[in-house]
Amino acid sequence: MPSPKRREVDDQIALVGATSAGKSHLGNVLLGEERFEASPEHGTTVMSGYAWTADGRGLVDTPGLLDGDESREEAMSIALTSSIVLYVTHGQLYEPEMAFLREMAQQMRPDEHQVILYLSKHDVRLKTMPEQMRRKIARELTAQVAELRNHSSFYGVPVTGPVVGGIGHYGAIRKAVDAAWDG
Amino acid sequence: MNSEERAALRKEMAELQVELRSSLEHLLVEFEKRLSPAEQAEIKEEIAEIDTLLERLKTGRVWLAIFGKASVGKSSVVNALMGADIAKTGVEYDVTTEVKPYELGSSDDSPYTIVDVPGVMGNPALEEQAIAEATRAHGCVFVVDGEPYQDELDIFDLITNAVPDAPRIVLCNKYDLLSHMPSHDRDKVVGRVRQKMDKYVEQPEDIVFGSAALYDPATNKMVRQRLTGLEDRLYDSAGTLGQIVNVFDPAGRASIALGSAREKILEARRKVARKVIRGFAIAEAGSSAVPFSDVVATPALLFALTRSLAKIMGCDPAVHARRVTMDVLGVCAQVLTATFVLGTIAGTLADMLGPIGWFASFVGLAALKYQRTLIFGEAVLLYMENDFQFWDDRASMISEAKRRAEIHYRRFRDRNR
Repeated sequence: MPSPKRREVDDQIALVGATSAGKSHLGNVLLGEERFEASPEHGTTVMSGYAWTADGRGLVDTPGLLDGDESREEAMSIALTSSIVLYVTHGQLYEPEMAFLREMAQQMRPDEHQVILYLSKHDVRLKTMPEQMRRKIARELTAQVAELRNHSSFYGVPVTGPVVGGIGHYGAIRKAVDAAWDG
Repeated sequence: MNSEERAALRKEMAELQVELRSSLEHLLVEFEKRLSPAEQAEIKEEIAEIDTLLERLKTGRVWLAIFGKASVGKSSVVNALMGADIAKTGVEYDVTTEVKPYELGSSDDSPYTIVDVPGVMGNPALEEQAIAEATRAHGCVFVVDGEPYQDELDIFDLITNAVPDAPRIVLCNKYDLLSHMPSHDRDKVVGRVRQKMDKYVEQPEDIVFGSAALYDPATNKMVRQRLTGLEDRLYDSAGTLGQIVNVFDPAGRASIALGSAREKILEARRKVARKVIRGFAIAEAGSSAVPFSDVVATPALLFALTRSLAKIMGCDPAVHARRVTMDVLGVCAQVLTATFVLGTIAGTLADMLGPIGWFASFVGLAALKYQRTLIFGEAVLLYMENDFQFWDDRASMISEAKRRAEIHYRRFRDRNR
């Protein structure tokens, strides 16, 4: 395996994921204030935005994946220079997302990076689908994470999750982020 | 429609297709000299269109191809249209590469064949497969579940560019998810769906919103819904898709669709007959360029038309085409003196005036002859459908033929324009 390229990795949290997965919204939750523009329409985040939480953690919002190559490259470069990647999705990962994650891990160093997978919009699923189906989605995502972990490129890069959350259910993701920051 | 009726319809359509092809071949060979290359091409194109319709009617059911990313709810859409839970729903992983055709019961009974085409984003290997399914189906349904990603649009673009003539309807599924949003947010998303999907449909009405399944908290289950918005569009769709849907009436809307299988077969026959009448009318209009053509060519052409119509309408092959032609022509001339007789006089005058004369009156005369052939053709159809008899009131029969000639055909387009 080629040794990963050396690059400066900052102590910061990168919010990465498909368009409209809820990255900006989660960012605002972690910040405790509305700093990133979040909207139901696609493409509100066209450029990466930086903000700092009250306790001094840097947070970077990125444009969404699955919406063309430019945003993908931008998101990749932010992910690779961030110590924690918070990957946001509201359902199963699509193949281009899996490809992104594999490629990302290939260039990461286990001692410098951590990945947290966050399954957003739990509140919406509670209202619109049976428990069995919600479980199935989480199971499917767990299987996808397992596939990533077993992928040679992911060797050693710690992956947490999927952590489930949404409006009224942010405890778990806050805890996971704290643990990653301290770890 | 039951399986027996379907089988009868399939057989009839196959026979009709043979008649259509031979009628047109006959027209093109026999009257080739009267038709410009552009007219020949136009006739062939119209025939290809009705030929496609017949080919599709031969399948005996409505054939749809459903496209969309994994988890967009394609299986739920299949179930909603079929009115039965036959496709397995739930989360599907985005690597399914298998095309799944669904039918209700045996294929003879099923009102639909619905093909679930996997939309693995960013996998070019599946592109050919998607195009093949779109080509084969009677219509395509593009399913999204909110504002689509660029990667989804890439697949829709691919299909639209490869099969531009395939009828397309866009369904924004999981509308219930949107209804949980504040209304101004929902409006924004609806606006974005319309904006991004607009290029795939002919008219904005062909983008519909609905939920193929809804969560019922009481039973903690997803409950199949009816996608009436989608069904409406299938029935109202222009071109062959709407025609096929109305013939097979998959949603059981018998009040909207035509009545019995017999009536449907008759309607299909009329459609084919009208294409043939139009082909002959174009050929007849072309005869203006030939001096004295009225006397010599017209009856021969009209006999041929009558013979073709008799076959297409499934009449006794021993029918006396010459006598039928002369009888109908005679009644037409009596009732529509202006159109028929003046046309002939104008034709004769034009011929007497020589090249300058017929050139001057060419446009008006050609249009007149075109119109006259359409009326004649419709009158023959009415006559045949009435057991080879005129109505008691001959004048109203010919007015009906004239009315039908006006509503069922395109206007004459002059070849010199």
